[in-house]
Amino acid sequence: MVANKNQVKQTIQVDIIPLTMSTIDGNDSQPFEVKVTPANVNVESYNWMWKAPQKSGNSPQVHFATPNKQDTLIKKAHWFAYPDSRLQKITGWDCEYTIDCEVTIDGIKYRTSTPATFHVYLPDPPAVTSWPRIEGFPTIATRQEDDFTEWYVSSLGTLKRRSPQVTSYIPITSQFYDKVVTVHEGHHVIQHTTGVQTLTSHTLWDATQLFHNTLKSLKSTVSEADLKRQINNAIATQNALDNNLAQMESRAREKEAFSKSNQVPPHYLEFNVL
Amino acid sequence: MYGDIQRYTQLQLYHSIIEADKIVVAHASIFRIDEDDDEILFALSNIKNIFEAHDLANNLPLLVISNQVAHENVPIIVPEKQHLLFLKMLPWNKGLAKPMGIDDLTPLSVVCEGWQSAICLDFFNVKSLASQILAEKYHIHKANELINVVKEMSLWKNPKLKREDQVEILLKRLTVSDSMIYADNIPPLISHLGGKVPQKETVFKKRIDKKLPVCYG
Repeated sequence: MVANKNQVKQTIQVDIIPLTMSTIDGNDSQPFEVKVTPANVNVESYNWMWKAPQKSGNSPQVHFATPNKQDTLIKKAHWFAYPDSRLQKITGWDCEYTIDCEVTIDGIKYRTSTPATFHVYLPDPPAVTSWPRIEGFPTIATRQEDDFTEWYVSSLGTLKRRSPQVTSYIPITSQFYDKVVTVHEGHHVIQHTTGVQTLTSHTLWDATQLFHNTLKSLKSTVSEADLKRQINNAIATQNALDNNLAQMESRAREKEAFSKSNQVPPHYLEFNVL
Repeated sequence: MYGDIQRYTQLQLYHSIIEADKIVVAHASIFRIDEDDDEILFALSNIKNIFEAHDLANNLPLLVISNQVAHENVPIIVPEKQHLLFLKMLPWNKGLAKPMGIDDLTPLSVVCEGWQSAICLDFFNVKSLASQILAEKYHIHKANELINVVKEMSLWKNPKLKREDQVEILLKRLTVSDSMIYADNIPPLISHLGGKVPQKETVFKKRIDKKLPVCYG
């Protein structure tokens, strides 16, 4: 037997706390709690339930950790597609479930007047790959030139090309981790290191070349600090120029990476590469 | 970076125009780099203001903090070059200024989000994604043409204007010019201000219709 609306309003009030919550795909949610007013009634059972828009894609699903307790949380939040489209520009990065809890008091079932909403989303962007760059510092030495000291660059020192770094903003438990992080960002790493045909970023940020072309001829008769400033400026300038060149190929790199990651399920949150 | 490729095929200046406290044309030179730091501090000189929020200090030297860690959507400042910069001012902060070895009254700023927020204006010597898009898509080949476009698209930010007047300025600019750079940027600015965008292109908008039947778990 389900209580009619008037009965609920007049006697028993059921509320979910909090009323809205957001969780990244693959993470567990924070707890939801149901509060019954007046507090002294004897609740015989709790039954957590959920809804999602019909015709949604990617199989909406909610797994309550404790579906029959006063408080619960949602295990491994699952992003679904509404409308059902493989393209991110149609679905957006987030989806919305409705969460309710049915409580039984004296054999009568009650629900909330305002169910809670549960957003599941992927951050935009869900992952990035930072570009390589020239980092470290060449070795500095001094020599006497007539009656003054000269600071000069003597060897490569710790100067090197730093590898590209992948940063993921989604957990490894996300259904999109393999598609986004392993394959898409993983392909960017390949582009920047071993390289792929038609793209050039694997040839940029060349520390050895910078050393031989520029750094090894730098010197100062003023101070070591003055030479360090010259070196820092030369490294920063080369990094900026190479970043600029890399940026010109951004679209081509992304197209190539999407051509790989669009082959990996789930076939949602995809971008056309035409 | 897993995301929309469109951002590399057009100059989405509207993001930066909305976010910026200050839009300038300026020469950027390296002011300070810490060897162990991911940040670089640029000093700006020969500054020409395109837009400035009314309460900002005008006559002090301006420093820009820029991240050295780059990826597709990070603005790039090329040392010793003139740039169009969309800046967000940072609050005066002793905790921030002291480790950088600067006066705590020196205005500090960061470049707004997105690769389009720093555009090197030396189009002939420093080829860039921006100069490529400007030339190929918008047929803009000179720095001054771009500066004028940004000036036009920033007029609505005058804090004395009412919302409807801001929208009107943008609508007028959109109707008197058939330039693609306005077509790509003004509709999102009008939407940002809550105005009605002339129906020229499809806008994909997600809606969750509460009246639809639902599936149950």
